Amino acid sequence: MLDGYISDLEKGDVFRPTEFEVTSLMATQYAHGVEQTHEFFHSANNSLSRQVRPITAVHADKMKLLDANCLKEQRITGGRGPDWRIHFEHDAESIEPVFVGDTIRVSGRIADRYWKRGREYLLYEIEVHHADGRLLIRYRDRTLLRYRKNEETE
Amino acid sequence: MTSTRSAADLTVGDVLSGPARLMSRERMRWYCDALETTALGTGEFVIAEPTIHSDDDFAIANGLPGIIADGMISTNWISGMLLEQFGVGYVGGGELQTKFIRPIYEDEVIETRGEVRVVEGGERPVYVIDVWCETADGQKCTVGQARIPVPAG
Repeated sequence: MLDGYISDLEKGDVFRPTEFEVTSLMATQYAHGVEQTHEFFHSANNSLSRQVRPITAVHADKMKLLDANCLKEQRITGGRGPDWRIHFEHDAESIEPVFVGDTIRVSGRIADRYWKRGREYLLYEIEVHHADGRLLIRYRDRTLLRYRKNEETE
Repeated sequence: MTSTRSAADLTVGDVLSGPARLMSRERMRWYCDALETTALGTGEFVIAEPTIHSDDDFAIANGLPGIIADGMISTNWISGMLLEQFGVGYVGGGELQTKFIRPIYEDEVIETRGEVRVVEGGERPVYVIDVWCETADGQKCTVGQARIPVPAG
């Protein structure tokens, strides 16, 4: 179910897309936060002659998408849900680089929600398209809804 | 540090490596703030609210023994190793899949590794590379696989 907490999301939920322009700060600050010093991420003074956003910053796209679709838990602005999730799997395929100045559209859905070994998981499938329609990133993300095990489902 | 071979000349069994890094409290904090600054996207720098990655009490309340690193930090260290080795071939055509099989705790020393598992042929040859991060005593924390197009020689 959209518009509640992240823990309310269900298999089959389709997110309302979010669209925004990629700024230099988004690229540099993400790269800086993980000590990625390659010039790709910090200026256009590189072999592509354009500043690139790290592929892994798609993690922030997921967060943006969740903020737009889980209105009771908008974490970017300090919102909190009943449980803290644990990221379990990241799978990002870069089709083309995302450049600073690009307007991108992030869309996605809950591909699955299931229990395994006493823990509940969400599987996200997210795509990042350029505003002109080109697919830039295909992303799958698996997250534990909460760290504590539910002993009853063991 | 990566392989001493060029990106076009790697073969099965070649090993990639990144620097050993200590997972400090500050590094955990940097990711929290960078993630939220990137996601907010307004130009403001964000100091993230307490999380399991930055606040011991919050982590303990969520069933953890203390703060743990966001899995995206080790993923990014792997990503950086691939970028150093493959450059444009990685940012414009690579895939990186990682799983977080063991939490990384404060002050653990983490090393980043890769090993070329397969070189797939065909019209667009691809390296399939096992990637992982491990503690100084060899416990794997983050494991996965990368697929990177083989650059034209």
